[in-house]
Order: sequence, then C-alpha cells, then structure tokens
Amino acid sequence: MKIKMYERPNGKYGVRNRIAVIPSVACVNHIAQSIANAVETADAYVHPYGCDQLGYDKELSQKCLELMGIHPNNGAVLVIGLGCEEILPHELYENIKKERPDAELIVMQEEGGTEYCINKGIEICRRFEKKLREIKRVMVDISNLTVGVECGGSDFSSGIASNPAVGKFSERLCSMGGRIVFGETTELMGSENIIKELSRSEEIYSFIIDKIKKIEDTAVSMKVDLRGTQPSPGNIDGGLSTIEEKSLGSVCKIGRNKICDAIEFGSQAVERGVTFVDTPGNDMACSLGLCCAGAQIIIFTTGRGTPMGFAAAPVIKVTANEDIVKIMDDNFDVDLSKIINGEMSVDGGGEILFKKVIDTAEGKLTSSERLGHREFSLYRVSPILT
Amino acid sequence: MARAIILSEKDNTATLFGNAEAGDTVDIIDNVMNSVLTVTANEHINRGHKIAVSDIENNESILKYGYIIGTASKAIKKGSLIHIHNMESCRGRGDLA
Repeated sequence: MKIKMYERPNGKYGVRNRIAVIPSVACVNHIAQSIANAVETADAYVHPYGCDQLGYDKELSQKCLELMGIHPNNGAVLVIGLGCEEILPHELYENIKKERPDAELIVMQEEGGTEYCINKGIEICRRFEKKLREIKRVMVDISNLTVGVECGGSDFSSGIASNPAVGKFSERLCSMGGRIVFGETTELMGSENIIKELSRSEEIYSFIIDKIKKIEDTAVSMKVDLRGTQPSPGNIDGGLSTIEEKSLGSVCKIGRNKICDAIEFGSQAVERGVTFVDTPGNDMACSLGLCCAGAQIIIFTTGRGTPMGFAAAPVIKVTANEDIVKIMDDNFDVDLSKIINGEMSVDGGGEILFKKVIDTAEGKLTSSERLGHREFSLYRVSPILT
Repeated sequence: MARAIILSEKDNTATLFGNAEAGDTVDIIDNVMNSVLTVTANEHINRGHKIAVSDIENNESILKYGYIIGTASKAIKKGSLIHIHNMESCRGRGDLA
C-alpha cells in the first residue's frame, strides 16, 4: 500500500512539512515563541533547560533537540542560541544541518537584542515557508511509517476497548512492514509475563525487565508507594485500582506483535515491527521519546480525556469513554465507545484507527493540531546541581 | 440488566459497562460478548469499576486479563465492589520497605 508523504534529503519521509524553531537554552524561549507565533507553519520547541546541565543529562537534552531538528516532519530548522549556554548553539546547528540543509542559526550575544532577533527569525522562517511550499508529497510505501502508541489519563475503557483496538492497528501496520514504537516503562510493571511472551529474544526481554526493575527499585529506595501517582487519582476514579491493572491494559497497544528491539531514550528505532523505547509514563516525556525514535504520528488513547498534542508529530486522540466525549467534545479524533456498548468489535475499532492514521499521514489535521496543541518538553534525568 | 465483562476465564473480577445498584442482577459476558454467568450486586458499583464474580479470601490474588492485578486486603464477597479499599498493589511498594 502506498501513501503520500514528504521526502527529506536524508531519505526519510515526513507526514508534515513544518519549520522547527529550536532554542538551545531557556533564556531565548521568548524569541523562539514570538517567531513561531508569527509564522503559520513554524513550531517553537521551547523548554526550561540548556544551561546548568551536566554529563549524560546535558548530552541527552542536546541529542533530543538534534533529533527534533532532523525529524522528518520538519522540512526546515531555525536554531536560536544565547551564546553562553552549555548546549552549544553552533554545535547543535551544525549537527542538524548535516541532515537538514535548510537550517539557520541566530546567536543573540553575537547578533542583537530581542527585537532584532525576533524580526530576523521571522524573516528566515518566512523564507523557509515559501521554499517548503514548493515541496510536494510523493507516493511511498506505507512501510515508511512509524507510529508511536501511547496512553494517558487512562480509565477502565482504555484497557478494555481503546488499547486493544490500537493493538489491532499495530498488528496491521507491522504486517505491512511499518514500525510501532512504544514506551511508558512504568506502565509495564505487572505485565512482565506478556513482555516475556512477546519479546523476540532473551536480550530484549532482559533490557525491558531491567528498566522496569530500576523504577521499582527507585520507588522502594525512596520509601514511597508508587500508588501516589500510579495509578493517578483520575485513573482510580476511572476504575483502575493498581499499577498492575493499568499496565495489563496499557500493553494491549502493541497487539500480539513480537517486540523486535529495545532502545534507550533519545535513540532512533531501526528494526521494522515493534520497538520498545525506555520512556517514563509522563505523557510529554513519552511523546518526546517516541518522536526521537522516529514516530511521525502518535496514537494517544485516553479514557479521562487530555488535550495535549506534540510539536513534532500529529497526535490522534482516541477514547472509548462516552461521557468525556460529551464534555471535551472538540478534543477527540476517534470515539470507540461503541466497543463498550457492544455495538462495535475491537477489530472494527482497529479498522477505524487504520483509516484515521492514513488520513492523518496524508495531511488531514488532528483535533490537537487544529486547536493549536503543539506542546514540547525535554526529559531531564538529573537534578539541578549548579 | 447491567453488564460486566470478564476478560479471561481465570479472572475473579469483571468490569461493569454500566452502573449497578445493590440487588441488581449483573450479566457477566466474555470477550466475544457471550453471557457466561450472572451475579447479584451487593452494593452500588460505578460503571467501569470491578465486581467480584466469586468469593475472594483475604490475601488471595485478584485476577483480570488472566493475570494478577493485586491482592485482596480483606475477604471480598461475590457481587461486591473490588477497588482500593479492599485490594492492594503488589508492586513499587517503597512504603512497605
């Protein structure tokens, strides 16, 4: 099956043709945001970091910003630096430019004040925008698609209807040679038997189990009950009693596919089929990890309802809770509550999701995109020491 | 009649698709929507919450999807609500360390 996507100079394919405005440090966030606000197809990747970061924490932040720059949904990139930060703006820009030739850099301390930098940035982005309009979609095989599967604000309906339907979608995409990436390591706690059954090798199983254990050991060493956040008060109100119950519902998103690879946060998925990425359950951090891994689209199931999108990829919001569809009516793309009512099969839900993913890949905006939800966050792994 | 789904034949819990009141007969259906048994609700149980489909002893495992989702912290009668007041998570319990 072929779908229409944008071809990038590094041979990858995107489903959107956006401009990423990436600040290397929080100090220039306002510049980046003001530029993006003035240019329709530009997104600001604002974050509170870039300075006072050490070792692996700094490396990971920089790596994630680079991967956002070269993300296939972005056709052009503008890096905004201050000039004295640890994430070196010149280095960030050079690394992005290797794979995304349409990249520019503004360093405030070398060039000018706020007003000057905003005006220059807008001018650059308008030029990019004109150039990107010339790029037309090409017909490529669906195997070039990587879809991230994620859940947040879960309730009973997530693990019974939405996630199993996503599982059916995952099985279908993988059978066509596509990729599924999933994370939320915390929300695998209790589903180890299923992970064992689905892992293609002992190495993959051990990798995932070690990551789950690390989180559980941390909770134990902090002398906290994980139930303070897992499940959250909203999950509990929605019928989920324990992390084990939440996890067993969450793992349904990958269907019965084998897990073909397991990678660290900030790495790109290479294998076809399902790849596990070690991300927290935190929605924004997970979206970042999945987009770094190469997800061009995220399917996000939510029983309680969450409006969040993501800067680098369209997010498809799915629920099977009919009550929340009535309350947050403009925040959903797919309503699977008919599965709960017995009027639709889980397979039928998977079918609807497949069509929605194809439409989204070929340019149809999702609810979160239409409503301007283009959030971004970095994932900090060390405390602020300095 | 309220309906509840049992996700594996091993399970001692079913999830309600609608609210149930004390005395209501709850039709327990399986994954393919076949009715497998009926249970009388002992109390009000909200849609999406779990009902015990058999008597469960204190410290007995609670099963959903065919896997353990926690342990009963007291004896639970068939037809009663199973939630955080009568079951415990077995994982990530630093508070017990």
